[in-house]
Amino acid sequence: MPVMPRRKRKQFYVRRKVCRFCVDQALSIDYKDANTLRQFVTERGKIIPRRISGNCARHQRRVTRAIKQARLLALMPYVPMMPPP
Amino acid sequence: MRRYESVWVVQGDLPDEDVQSTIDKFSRIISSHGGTLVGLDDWGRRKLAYKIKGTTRGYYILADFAGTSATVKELERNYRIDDRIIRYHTVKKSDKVNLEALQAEIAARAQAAAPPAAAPPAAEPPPPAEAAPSPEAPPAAPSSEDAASEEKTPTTAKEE
Repeated sequence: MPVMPRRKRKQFYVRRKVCRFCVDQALSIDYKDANTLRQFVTERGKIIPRRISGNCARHQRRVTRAIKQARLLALMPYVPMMPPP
Repeated sequence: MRRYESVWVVQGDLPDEDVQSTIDKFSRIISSHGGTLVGLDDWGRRKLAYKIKGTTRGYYILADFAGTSATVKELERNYRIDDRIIRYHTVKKSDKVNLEALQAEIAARAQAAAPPAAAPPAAEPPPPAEAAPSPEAPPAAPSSEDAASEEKTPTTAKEE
């Protein structure tokens, strides 16, 4: 069996994400501030995982909580109103 | 006493009198059940992220107060009774309240709210010395220009 040329492995450049709330102490997580929280949800209104957002565990918990509180008050959507595809 | 923050949403299609009456009603409930109202924040009418009871708009009011669990209990009981309230949410901000600091904060808030009323009488006395304001005006204008140019420079630096 011929030896298949090993395919060159694709290079991944993993830039270490840093928690932006740890970097900038002035940033606060507040359920009233829907515009900031909007950065942590997808277009579909789902909360972006820590893996992708780069938040540290502590701040991710707070972001998650704040988003849920904002949803309760209808400041943020559970499911956004989207035009039919 | 603990420090709380409570937001309630009044149906958006109701007239302003109804909104005002909810403010009066809930402020009274806070103060009559061992609470101290520190401040009210009126966010006005906002579009809701989703429909609630068929309405798409809501009037948001935030009350910042110090109180006990009994205060919150009574407040939330009344939120539930009142049909005009479509949503409410109460959050504890801190476990301990320094009463002196609280009074100072209330005073500061009152003062911040007062100037529009207090300013006109204070502003009226100077007019007799009309000569004074005019020399002051030219230096003031360049300084504002300076501020404007200062504001501009950082942005251009960023663009580069």
